[in-house]
Amino acid sequence: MAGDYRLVHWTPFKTLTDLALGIGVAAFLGASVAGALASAPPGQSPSEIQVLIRAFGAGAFALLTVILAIGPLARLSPRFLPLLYNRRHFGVTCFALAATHAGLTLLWHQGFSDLNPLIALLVSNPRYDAIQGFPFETLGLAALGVLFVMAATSHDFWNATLGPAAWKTLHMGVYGAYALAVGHVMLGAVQGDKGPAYPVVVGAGAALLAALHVYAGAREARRDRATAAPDGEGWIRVGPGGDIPDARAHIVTPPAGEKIAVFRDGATIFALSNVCRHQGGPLGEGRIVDGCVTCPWHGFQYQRDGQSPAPFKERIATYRTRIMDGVVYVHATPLPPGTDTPPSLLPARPAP
Amino acid sequence: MNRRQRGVHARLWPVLAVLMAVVFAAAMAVR
Repeated sequence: MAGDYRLVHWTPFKTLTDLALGIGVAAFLGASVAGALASAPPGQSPSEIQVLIRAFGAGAFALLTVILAIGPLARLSPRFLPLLYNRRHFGVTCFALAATHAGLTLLWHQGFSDLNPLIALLVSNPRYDAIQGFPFETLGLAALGVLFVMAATSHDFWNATLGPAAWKTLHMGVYGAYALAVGHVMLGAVQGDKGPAYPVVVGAGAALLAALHVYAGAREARRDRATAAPDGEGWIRVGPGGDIPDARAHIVTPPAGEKIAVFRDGATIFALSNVCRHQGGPLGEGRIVDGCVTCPWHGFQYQRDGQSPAPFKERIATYRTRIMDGVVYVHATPLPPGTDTPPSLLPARPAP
Repeated sequence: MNRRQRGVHARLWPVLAVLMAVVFAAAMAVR
């Protein structure tokens, strides 16, 4: 979690997910190639390289659509959270597919030019002022550039070096890459293939993605509007301590600032910022594992004092808590990151 | 998702959706 280089920690789930990803990609490519060969008009046989160009391009686009659906799906249902752990592997695989598609295209269409194939691709069609015949390859190349930057900086080393906010901003470029890819397909493959399959699949995928993101955001905005007003001394009522599930949290939304996660660990109540230092994950939707609050997005951990366990160095804001008549209150003012503040203790339940 | 990230997503996706719809419609019109 700190800026030092560390090997990736493999888990059985990670291995299984990568295996499923590999099998899925191979099956998609195989089915695309078989489908293209089987659907060729009688007497015509498409060139193998063109079939491969289409298959790798379709594979990259389909995988990018799946990758972008994981975020909003995980916000809508925790069942999709495990996929977030491996989303970077999906992204690097997507770049590899797109790069293969681009490499084969350059070899096939520009390989015999006197110019450098890349330069030949960029200058061979200058019709940027028309929709019909637009040099769609440029859009694909721009999308590939974004995917390259993201794949090259996907390791946590870059997250720590650039800082979480800059890293996240950089990686939000994937949304622009997706829009470029939609333009690339719509002005390229869709123009050459008059069947309904391409526009239906691309249109449905893009519409579904946009709807998922807008719906997930609207649902969270609705929740955030239910802010908890502090009393005159700045204390916000959370609710009866027993209502907070053990090893989990209630999330409180103050009128200003970020949300607060109020955790219960047995009889102990404490509060932390709801925002993980890694990538802004919602800590209050995670749980306490081995005594540490564990982020549901990528497993970053924090102790009760807001500090990550040694040797890690991340720190988040803590909040004061108090209990009155069994009701938990949290103070709306954050304490400096990593401030150890005494927890509150729930009264012992009378013996039955 | 924290408030800042949600705000960025809330502004970005409607713009992207409109942009993609325009490109889609234009491409289908000249097809």
